[in-house]
Amino acid sequence: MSRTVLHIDMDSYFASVEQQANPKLRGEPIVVTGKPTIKSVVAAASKEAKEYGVESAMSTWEARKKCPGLMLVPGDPDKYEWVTNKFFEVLRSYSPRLEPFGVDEAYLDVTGKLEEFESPIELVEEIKGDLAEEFGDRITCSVGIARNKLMAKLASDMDKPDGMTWIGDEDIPEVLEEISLTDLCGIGSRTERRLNRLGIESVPELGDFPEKELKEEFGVDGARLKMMGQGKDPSRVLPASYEEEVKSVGNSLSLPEYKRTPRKAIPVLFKLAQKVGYRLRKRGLVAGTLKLIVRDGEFEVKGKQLTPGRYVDDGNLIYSIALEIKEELGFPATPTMVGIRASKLRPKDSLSRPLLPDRRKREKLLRVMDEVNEEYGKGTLYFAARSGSEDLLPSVGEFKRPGDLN
Amino acid sequence: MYKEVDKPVKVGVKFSSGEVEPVWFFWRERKHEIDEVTLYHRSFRGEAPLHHFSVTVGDDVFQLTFDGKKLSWRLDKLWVKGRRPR
Repeated sequence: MSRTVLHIDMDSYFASVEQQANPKLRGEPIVVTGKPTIKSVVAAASKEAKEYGVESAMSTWEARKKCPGLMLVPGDPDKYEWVTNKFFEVLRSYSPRLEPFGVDEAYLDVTGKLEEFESPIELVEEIKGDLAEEFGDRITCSVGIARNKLMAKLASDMDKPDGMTWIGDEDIPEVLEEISLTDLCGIGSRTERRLNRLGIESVPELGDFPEKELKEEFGVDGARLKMMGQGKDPSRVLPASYEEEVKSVGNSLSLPEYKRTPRKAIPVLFKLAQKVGYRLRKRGLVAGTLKLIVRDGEFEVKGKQLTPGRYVDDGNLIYSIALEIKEELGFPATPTMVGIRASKLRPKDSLSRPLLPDRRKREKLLRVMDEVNEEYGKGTLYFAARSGSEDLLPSVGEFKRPGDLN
Repeated sequence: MYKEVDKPVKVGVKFSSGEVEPVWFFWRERKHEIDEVTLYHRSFRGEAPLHHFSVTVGDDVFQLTFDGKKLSWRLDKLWVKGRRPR
């Protein structure tokens, strides 16, 4: 049976959620922001605001210049996290082969499910109906249907909002003629410039270009780029299994554009380490092995793990070990996601109590901090070294994997 | 714009098919009959599950929250007509 992949993309996500929650915002140009101040940045714009040229990542000052009647709505990360988890839950009821791609997008391999439907279109209509029943009719999605992830992603962008596009094998040559290089997921403006320098200006030219020359310029990625130029993508839809393993505790974060440098990603690692430490302590566990996971600008994921020789549940220690792994793993020039996973878990009370007074003091400090944060809210007390990542906790655009509620 | 209220309120609920849904609440010595629950979401404060209900009462929009640990309801916020920026 040939493969069928869906790419499901929620439309104007945060803004649609706010419009669903509040009928007063429906039909209005609104943007969801971190804080409703003039210095804030647009996290999401409603379709009405988009008609004025308002876009995500624009300053609210610029957005208001484009749309004088624009309403600023402060973001509510808890609300979006809940809706995201439900969104993935609905999709998983159709296929376990779900690969989240940010908070509001996912790939779903429905190959095994299709025999129950007359066509992929009927299946997508049912998914859309389930989502409307779960959230209401204001939260809509656009869906791309194709043989692979690359073309499915491209298809979901073709009919927005609340659309559905099916790119069949016979449509691929015509579609590739019409799009530009940067329409393909994984080709950014920098890669486009490098391709232009080789004389490649269009997608079909990329598909026809000698693979050997592409490899000389891009290394192993050369072969993948050539396939992209032909509308091919052999990559599988990968469930985020490293987050779902029962025997591990992990957190990852998809980095917003302005954090995609190694220097700016480091404070994020610190924050993730604290979060993993907290989750271990909450479960009364300690970890014997830690893994660092990074995704680069071309969306390739790599990871490396280390068994430090002692069990840990302290975020600062987890951070130090993550930095050690980073030295061995190397860090991409444009990190787009970072994650830490703790495994080889065992109950903390199976270990002997620390003998050194400093360690005992440290444990007490962490316990008190956890109690304060539980009583007065996440992030009430935190280590000053988290400086540089405070804008990410809590943030409107935070990437969280499903199930990562705590 | 949303105006924070954060006051305890009495809420009447209905149970159906394993789900709970607020139907009215008392606030400012008035009973407010809920027309529609427009969105439900859940969050946590520490270990306490917080169940948030966005609701409409006539032309007004509110958010009610049930604290699953304290077993108490609060009126979180309401939507008030804000001045449009110029």
